[in-house]
Amino acid sequence: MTTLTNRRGATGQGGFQPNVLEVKNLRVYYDTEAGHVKAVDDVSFTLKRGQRMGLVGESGSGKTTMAMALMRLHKPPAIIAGGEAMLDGVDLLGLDDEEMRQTRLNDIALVPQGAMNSLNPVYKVRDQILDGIKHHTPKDEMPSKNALSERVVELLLSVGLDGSVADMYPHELSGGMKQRVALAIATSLRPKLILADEPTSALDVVVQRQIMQTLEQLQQEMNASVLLVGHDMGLMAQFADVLGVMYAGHLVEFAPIADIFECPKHPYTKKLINSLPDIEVKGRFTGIDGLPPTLVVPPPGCRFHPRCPIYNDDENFRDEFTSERKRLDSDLCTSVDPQLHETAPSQWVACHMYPEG
Amino acid sequence: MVLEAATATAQVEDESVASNSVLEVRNATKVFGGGMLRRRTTVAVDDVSLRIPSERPGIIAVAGESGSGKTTLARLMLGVIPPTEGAIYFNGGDITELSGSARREFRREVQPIMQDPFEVYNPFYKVDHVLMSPVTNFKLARNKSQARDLVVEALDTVGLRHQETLGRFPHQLSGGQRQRIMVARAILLKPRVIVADEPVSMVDASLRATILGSIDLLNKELGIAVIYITHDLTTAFQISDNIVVMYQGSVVEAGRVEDVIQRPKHPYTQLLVESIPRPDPKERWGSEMASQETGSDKADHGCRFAPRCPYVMDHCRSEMPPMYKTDEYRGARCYLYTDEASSNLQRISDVFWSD
Repeated sequence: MTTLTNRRGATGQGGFQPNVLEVKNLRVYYDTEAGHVKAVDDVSFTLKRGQRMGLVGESGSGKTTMAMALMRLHKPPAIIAGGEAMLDGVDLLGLDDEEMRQTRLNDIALVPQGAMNSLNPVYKVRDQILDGIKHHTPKDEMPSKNALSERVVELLLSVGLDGSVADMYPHELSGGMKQRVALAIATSLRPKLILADEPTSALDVVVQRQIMQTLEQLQQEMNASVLLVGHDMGLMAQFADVLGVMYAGHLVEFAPIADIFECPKHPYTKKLINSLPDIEVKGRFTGIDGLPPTLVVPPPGCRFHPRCPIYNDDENFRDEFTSERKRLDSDLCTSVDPQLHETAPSQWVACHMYPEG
Repeated sequence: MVLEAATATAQVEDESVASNSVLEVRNATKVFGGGMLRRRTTVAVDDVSLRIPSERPGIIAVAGESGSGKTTLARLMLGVIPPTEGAIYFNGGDITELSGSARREFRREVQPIMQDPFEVYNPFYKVDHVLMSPVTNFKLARNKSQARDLVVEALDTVGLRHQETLGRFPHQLSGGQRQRIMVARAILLKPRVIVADEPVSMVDASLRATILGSIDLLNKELGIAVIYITHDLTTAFQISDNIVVMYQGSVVEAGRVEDVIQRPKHPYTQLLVESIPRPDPKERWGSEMASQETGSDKADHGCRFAPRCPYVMDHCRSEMPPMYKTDEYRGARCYLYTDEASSNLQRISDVFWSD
């Protein structure tokens, strides 16, 4: 395989890159009998061209719901209750169904969770790739049959598969190979933004690494942006340029990956990082106590305060955030929902330890 | 890097016979397929021997990717499927030949914890059923109130409040709670061995630590031996004393977990360890692409890893290497260590470390 050059990609510190995705005040609710479940509640962030963003959170934090809403593939009872999602200046949420269909794969594509279930077992790989291309290309721009055939082989080679895989059925492929086919389909029309929802969660570490390296290679070659949804902070550290942390429907921290790991600002992010096991120090079993709150009636004030080690003055956490906690007016934690704001250049956090303005 | 001070207490590995083991897997091979209709056979487990000594119950991790045979090994140890060759012994008796009370004892003393706890539950029964049925079946309590006390105590041990768990239906509990109830169930039965197959792969990273902590407790406080089946080397390192790394049915490396994971010897273990996504953006994967699976990398003769191995030699392809004892507490199945090996390793557990 070719060597990956310039691993930091087009997103390094220098060089201006325009915004590809601007999400503003996005709200996605589940309309249930018990009331609106605010799965994604007032989320805003921007993603630059060529940038790789990670989005982490516990199950139920709203990360997958948000990715599906951006693709407009959210299913009832989910409804988009408000906000904007501008992809290169076009509001995805304002498009009609036909316009959205033309946008998918061309401009925004999805690598689904568990590709093994996303491929149709009765079609050859070639037909599944062609199906995507044909379905999302206007009739008058359709390439010739030969050109399409060449394109399929090209795509397979680009994801590290042999051209002969085109004539195989999904059951003849391993999990890793199927996920590569899903990558080939997602990149077949060179989208500006690739959404990847836990693309490697069912695969072992060696295959995971190969898939992520292939995705990175494709993304750099196309200068596309990636939104990687997952819960593995290790994978994020390996792949992402910037990281968003979701908790109970809110984006609680958004910052460059190095800053997140070096000095996380939100106590939840800090707990996430502390709970990561490694292979250097043995016998650390620190989890995050408590459960995420119900999103029908979220806790008043900050949604994290019932589990927050600062608010609850956790004795194991007394040495953390020592200077920040002096500024904290803990009455705010139970009364005012903190807003995401910029505390340092490109470091955004929603926590009362960092007063706005 | 903080290394554990290797207090190399001279290990007296007695020439124990099977009767000194709680559970012993002796030269077990499991072949699937074959017969008249399916001519293609798969050797899921290839001549594996593993022993859980009764005097020193520890935590043994069995690690490998999907298709490595680790789950088949677990099923063999639980007596769910019989081996094609070799045998599994419980307290010295072949488990396929146990009858009556001995079989009942085996069922009680060797307990599984499964990957997706949701599938274990009957959605129409309250979770109490999962906890009460072993109490009734194995007659652990004399009356109802004593039974309830046992259940409450077990829930307490795994950090669950009985007020928040008993009387609920499975769907009303989180995945982490359901998995901890399975651990509580295991505590009730006080088995001698727990075979846990990927117990944390379905739960959030933040909850993983809590569940692993409970399993660790079972071992340290109650002296229950644990077989921890996983594809995740990081949690294996965290929780276990010894590790067995499997590749395509055979054991490629085994020994003390610090040695195997921090200083892997077999090229496959090295590849696995290199591929762990380290939670540090400054320490990213090397830029070279990890060796690809080609689809045609199934080896029939010789070392199973040879088609993907960067150090492959001619004789690797013709004959399966033996397990070499490369260090005091480790063995590796690789010809690279022919010279430095002190001997061939007959039984994997002979290199297991214990304090």
